[in-house]
Formats: sequence, C-alpha cells, structure tokens
Amino acid sequence: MLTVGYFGGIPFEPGVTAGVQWPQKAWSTEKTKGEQTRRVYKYLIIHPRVAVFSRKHSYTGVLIHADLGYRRQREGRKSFSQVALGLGYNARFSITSFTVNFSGEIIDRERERQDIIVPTISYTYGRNTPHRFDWYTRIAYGNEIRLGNASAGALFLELGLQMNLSKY
Amino acid sequence: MTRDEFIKQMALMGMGITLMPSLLTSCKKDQLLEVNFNGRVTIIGAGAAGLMAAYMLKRYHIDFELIEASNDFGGRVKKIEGFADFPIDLGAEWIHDQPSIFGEMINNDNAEGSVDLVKYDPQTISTWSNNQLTQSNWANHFYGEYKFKRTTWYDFFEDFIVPTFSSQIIYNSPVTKIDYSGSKAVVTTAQGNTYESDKVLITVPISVLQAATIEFTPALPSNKVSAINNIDFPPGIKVFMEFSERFYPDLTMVGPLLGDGSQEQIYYDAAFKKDSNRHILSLFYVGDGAAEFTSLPSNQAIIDAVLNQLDTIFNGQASQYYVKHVIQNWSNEPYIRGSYSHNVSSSDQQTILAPIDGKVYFAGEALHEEASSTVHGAGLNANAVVENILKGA
Repeated sequence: MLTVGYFGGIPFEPGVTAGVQWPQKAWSTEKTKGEQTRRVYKYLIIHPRVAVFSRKHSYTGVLIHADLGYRRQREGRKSFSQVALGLGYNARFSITSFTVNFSGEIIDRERERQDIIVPTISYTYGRNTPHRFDWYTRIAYGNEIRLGNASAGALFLELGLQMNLSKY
Repeated sequence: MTRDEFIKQMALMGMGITLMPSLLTSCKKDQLLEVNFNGRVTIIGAGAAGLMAAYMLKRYHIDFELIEASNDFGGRVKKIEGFADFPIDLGAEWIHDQPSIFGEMINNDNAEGSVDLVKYDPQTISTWSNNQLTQSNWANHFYGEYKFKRTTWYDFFEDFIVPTFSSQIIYNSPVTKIDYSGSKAVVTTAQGNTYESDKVLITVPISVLQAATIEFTPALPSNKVSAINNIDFPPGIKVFMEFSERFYPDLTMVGPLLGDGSQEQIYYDAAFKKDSNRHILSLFYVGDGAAEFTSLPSNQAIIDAVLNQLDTIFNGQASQYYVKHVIQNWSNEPYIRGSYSHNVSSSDQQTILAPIDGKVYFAGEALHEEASSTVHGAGLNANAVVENILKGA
C-alpha cells in the first residue's frame, strides 16, 4: 500500500509525507457477542515513511521513520484502527537567525543541522472507501532525543490516503 | 447574458486576478496620507509611542517637539552594553508579532534597513511549582515569538527612528501641567518652561497618568479618569546575572505552566541563540507578585533574594557560580512606575483615545486593541493617533 498525505508537528508545523505499508502477517479471529459471531481481521504492518515539515522561521525537518503497527478491522466494518511503535531519524535544519528588511522580506538566513532520534507511539484511525484510496488519521507521540542536547516530547499529526495496490 | 458576454466577463475577471497583486503592490508604494493639519504638536514622552509619533510627524513635515522627562529616549525600551558580550534589553525584549512588524511600524516604503532576529523557541524548559522542578521541553513547540540576534529594541529606535528628529527631543523635562483651556494647549515642565501648540499627544505610561503627576486645566473628564484608573499596571523587574558555569535550562517558569496570565515570573537564558560565550541568566518578573522583589529596600537585598530563590530551585548552584548582576527595577523608575498595562478593556481604550476638545490626545502600549502591552502595539497605536491628527480628526 502506498501512502501520501499531510504530516506535521503540533500545533502548526505543516508538511507532507509519503510511505509504503507492508502487511507482514494477517490472521483473523472470531468474536461472539450474544447470538452474533463476527470475524475480526488482524494485521501486522510495517510502515516506512519520509516526511518533510517546517516551523515558520524556525526549522525544516526531514523525518525518515518506520513503525510496526497492529491493525484491527471487524468483518463488515469499513473503519479500522491501529496502534504502532516506531523509530525515526529527524534531520532538522534550524534557522539560528535571520534578517528581515522593512518590506517584511527575509533577506538572509543562518542555519545549522540538528540530528534527532524520534521513537514514537501512535494511534491510527482509518476508513475504507469504495474508491482507489482509503483515508486515515494518525496521531503520534514522539520523544525527540536530540544528540548533544535535552530530549523533548512532540506530537505529530498525519492525515493520509493509502492506496491498496493489491485491490487492483 | 449571452455566451460571448459571459466569455468576455470571464476574460476580464481573469486579467483582474492576474493583475491584482501588482496593482495592490503599486498602490502600497509611497502611499501618503492626505494631510488636513499644519499646526504644531507637542508630544509628551519619548517611549516607543512618542518616538513613532515623532517619526510620523517628521515624515509629514509637521512642526513638533518631543518632551521627555528622563535623560534618554526609549522609556521602557532600554539597553545596557558591556555587561555581557552582547547588548542586553533591560526593558522590552521580545517581539510579540511576526518579523514584518518592523515595516508595519515604520510604515514608510522609502525607509531602508533591516534587523537580525532569532525565533524564540527555547529547547529546554522547566517549571518550578510546588517546590518541584519539572521538565516541560514539549512546550517549545508552542513558542512563537522572536528576539533580536545582535541588537536590541533600543537599537531599532536609535538606528532607524530617532535620527530623523533627534534635535527635536527635549530631555530632562518632566511635564507638570497641561493647560488646554485656551485656543492653544500650553505644556509646562518642572523647570517652568512652557511649550505652546495646537495639539498635545500624551504618551506617558498609564501609571504616570494614574499617579496624577500632570495637572490638567481644565481637569480631565471623569469618564477618562475612570478609564485610566481601571487599567492594571503591576510592578515589574528584570535582573541579569552572569554565572561562571551554566546550571539552568533555556527557560524556567516559576509557578504553574498554564497560569491565569496576571503574573509571569521566568528565569531565561538571555544569551539564547546569541553569539555569546557567557552564561547570562535573566529574571523577568511582572505582576503583583513581583512586589516581593521590587519593594525590597536595596538592589543588594534584591539580588540576595533572587539568588536565594535560584539556589532553592537549582540546589545551591546559583551562589556557587555567581559572578555579577545588573538590576532594572521598573517600579522604582519615577517616570515609569511599574511594568506595563494588564487587563485593558476595549471600552476603556476607546474612552482614553477620544480626543479632548481636538487638542489633547493619548497614545501608548495600553491603548492598542489587539497588541496592548507590547512595543509594536505602542508604535502602531501612536501611528493611528497621529494619522487622525493629520487628517484633522
């Protein structure tokens, strides 16, 4: 499955992402509630992605990230949910200073690179559509471990489309 | 509408959309106001509002003088050099808006210049609350302000604003009386000098008006006096300290992370993102609670109390690594008397801003509706008031 979408830090560090989802294992179980028996499909999915996002006048981050997710979808339901653990590397190109003229134009920037390791935990909610793309929303909490500096928590939001190649 | 008419209209709309940005840009260039005033203005107070007012009056060739009580311009914009290896803002320090705000304040397409800025996004943040120091680095994602990289707010005014009218500033002249009973307004200073003009623009801090150190003849209308007295103007202090070792995060907030906004006490790395090899920590404390420091009898008592608090937070390291300090107690400045305005209602602002007899005007940080308590709010408010004067309003 190919994924593309919006990716950004919270509150407002907008960017884009592209990735691939590889189902590693699929199985199903039956769940009985009253007289109804429902099958629940379960998957282990690896999802590597690349994301580029930025914070105005502060930095641009290039994130290479992969997570291993456990996805669950009930028979007959269009929605699915997933929890995942992941690990990423964020090359952050920070703007250490900049010069603004009186027309409001940024005329010079000084930058430095920061290397950040980002372990994440995430929750995804998605929905199948009858079309080529399904959509999903993913919220992730990451601990930004900055090499040579203190770590910091961060929230990331991903609003994506996934194209299930095996459908076609 | 026929098909041909429709196509023509669409084509014109398309051209309009294409040309609109360039049309707007060309309209912006050298857009001077239509001036219906050619009298004389006396500006009282050479803080941010007074300076921006003078800059605008000068640009429109209006005769004026700027009367300042102290021996320097800037008001709560003040700097010190030599304490560290970078100039330090003893007063206003942050830029609480987008970087383009300097151009908006200057509002002059012919003005050339630039400022070096940094995004203020402290990487290491702690909170000191209930005798516990808690790491809150995640909060750095929520900071959206800026600071000067190599200069200060004072430098901005000194380099780009004041040079156009520096000879028109009259220093060391506290105003004691404003008589607007006649056809002209007469301003009298403590030295007994008088200045006659068609309009008086008062830009002194609200605290000075509250203290009633300026006598008005006739007295200010009672609704204006009430509006002035409704504004909170709490104590404020900044203390800069140099240490031989760094033991503190980029920012330490004293009190709960999400306070009610009435009080702010922070210890921050004043050298953050500056080209500096020194360890300069600053205390910024504004609000009624700041009186615990501002009301102490001497600067020695203040630094002792500050170091004592830092020792409590950082396990005695402050006293261990302390080198030197400089204190700016804004509450003790006779022409400032505190920090800046808090809890300003829009109706009080409008009441204060209303000109009296077309002769007495007010401007300042307290009176900008969206950006009160800021330097740029003071400047933009002064620009708006001067614009009204120029239009003859």
